[in-house]
Amino acid sequence: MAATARVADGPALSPDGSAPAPGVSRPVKERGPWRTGLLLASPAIAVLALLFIAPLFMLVYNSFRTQAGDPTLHNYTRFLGDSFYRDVLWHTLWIGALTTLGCLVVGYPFAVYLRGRSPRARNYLSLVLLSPLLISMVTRAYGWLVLLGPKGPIADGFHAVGLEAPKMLYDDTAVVVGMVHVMLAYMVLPLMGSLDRIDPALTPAAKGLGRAAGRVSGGSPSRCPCRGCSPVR
Amino acid sequence: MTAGTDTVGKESAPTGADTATRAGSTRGRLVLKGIHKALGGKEVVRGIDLTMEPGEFLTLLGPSGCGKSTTLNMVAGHLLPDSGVVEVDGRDITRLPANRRAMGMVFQSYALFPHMTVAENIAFGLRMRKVGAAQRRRRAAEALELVGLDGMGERYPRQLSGGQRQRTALARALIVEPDLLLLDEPFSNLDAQLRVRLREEVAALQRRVGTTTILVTHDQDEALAVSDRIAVMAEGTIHQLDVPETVYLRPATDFVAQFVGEVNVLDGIAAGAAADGHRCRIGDTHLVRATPVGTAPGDGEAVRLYVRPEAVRVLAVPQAVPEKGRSASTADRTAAEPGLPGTVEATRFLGTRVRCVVATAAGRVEATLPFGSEVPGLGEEVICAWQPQHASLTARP
Ligand SMILES: Nc1ncnc2c1ncn2[C@@H]1O[C@H](COP(=O)(O)OP(=O)(O)O)[C@@H](O)[C@H]1O
Ligand SMILES: [Mg+2]
Repeated sequence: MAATARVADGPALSPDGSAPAPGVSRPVKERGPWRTGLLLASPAIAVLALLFIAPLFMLVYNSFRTQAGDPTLHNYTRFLGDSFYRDVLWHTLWIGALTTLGCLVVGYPFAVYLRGRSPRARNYLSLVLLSPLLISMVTRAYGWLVLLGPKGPIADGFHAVGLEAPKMLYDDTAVVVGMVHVMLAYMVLPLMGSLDRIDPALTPAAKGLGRAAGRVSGGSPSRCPCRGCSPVR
Repeated sequence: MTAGTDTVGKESAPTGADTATRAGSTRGRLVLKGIHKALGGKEVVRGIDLTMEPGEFLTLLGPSGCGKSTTLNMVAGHLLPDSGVVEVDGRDITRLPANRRAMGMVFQSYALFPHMTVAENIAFGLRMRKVGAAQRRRRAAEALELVGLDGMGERYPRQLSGGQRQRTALARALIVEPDLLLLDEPFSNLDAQLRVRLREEVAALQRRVGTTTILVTHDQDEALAVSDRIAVMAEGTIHQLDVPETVYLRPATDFVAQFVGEVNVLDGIAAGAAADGHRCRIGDTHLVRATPVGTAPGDGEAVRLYVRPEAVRVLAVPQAVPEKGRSASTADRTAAEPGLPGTVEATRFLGTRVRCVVATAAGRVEATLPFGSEVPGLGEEVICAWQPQHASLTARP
């Protein structure tokens, strides 16, 4: 064993060489980490509360009042009683569901692919992923109009092989395609976060014990949130 | 799995071939021939050849990044060599995928499946082999007992301590009765005390079950403590492959000498074979002896000696100090052994040992004197001596 360092016994000296004044080293009051966190987040919380949460509450509050300010449920009965509004509501939820599904189908393989790449490659690919969010909505929409339009490159492709190009604009498909384009980053980034927490050695470990690559077996019911992304199913 | 059949003592003669008797192992004879592998455009494994006997415990020892894990992964089947052959029991398995080999691997992170209990983790290999549920349960319980985790089967990996996780990983690897047990730095995530205890446990367990084992580590103490043989690796090649005693006392290259502990490096000229060991001239007049590694150098060739501080004895010059304080036997040995004269330059008390630095014609020689031995005074004339088998003689690079 190496010789142990001897610890100085006397009182510690402050930088100027004098002994510390009595009472200076008062114990610091213990503060929970969440309190420090709250303190640091408070400016952001204040902004959000004022500009986002408060207006939402006002909206909900006003929805239960008439123009004159009397309490009422009329706004809701009118909304749910009208089949036009109901259809719009269902359509919105339907498009939302399709967009989520589309993002999952496109985004999950992409997130898995990113997991094995070098940090450099990941940075570049993440930039590509985030690029739709950096482009103005109008520009993006016109881009899709050109791409999917009757004189666009996709239609040209159909014509080149002697086929009639299908109508690709102004329907749900076009909306979902455009939505997936923008929303993909919101799917991939959290998936990447989850996948990164999975030990990369799990795959070789499972394979070494006989798990054939790509085989999916029944196994026991799901118990772990990361099971879905786990190489061991 | 009978205990006590181990016949391999760590002190046994350094022949390296006596391991085949371990626990009656007949399985798991590994042969690597000319293995090369490039990763990311760089050749990280550059011609590995080695043969392991059934039941042997071999350690790949080398600094981080020298290609140990890469080599192990080619044995396990997770990487395909660019060239070369992997054979187990005479069968070429170079291109066999990992899931069709019978290798038990323990990873540095243990790689336990977080969504399975300890028992499910351990039985995973059996489930993949379509072993029935009842038998799986029975054998998992046996394996848990083997590694001292009885009654922990229903826990999840996150509820275990580091040492318990390591044992779970070991049980999971051993339950499939693998051809080889592959351990990739399995102790490096444990604190120092536990590391020493668990490596002893693993070595004892390995002797009991008799599975041919490769351990990958960068820790020389660990390698010396548990291995039948050590392969010292650097930059993708094996520098020396021998029993721990030989690797430690008679390093083959500068790298091995420096990596496996402290060493005195002395340059000299070969001066012919002696009754035991090989003579070597240092300076103009001093003759010392050492054991050649590999082919003996011809007379007059430039050679390099490696001597561990622990192997160096500091003896009084016979005439200078006639009787006073020195035992007769010390004087006898001095007369019988040639050595390197010098002057004591420094002595340092290190608790269990004393380090003594002697200035000689070949430069400074450091010696570690065992606890309780007499410490020479500063400026005293002494002779540094060692047994020929405790010093290695190599051609000077
Ligand atoms: N997938 C990879 N791509 C590129 N280089 C790699 C890869 N895996 C390992 N390496 C490099 O190969 C060398 C050997 O790695 P490894 O076998 O893991 O070393 P060790 O286990 O001895 O520390 C290192 O320099 C490492 O950076
Ligand atoms: Mg490694």
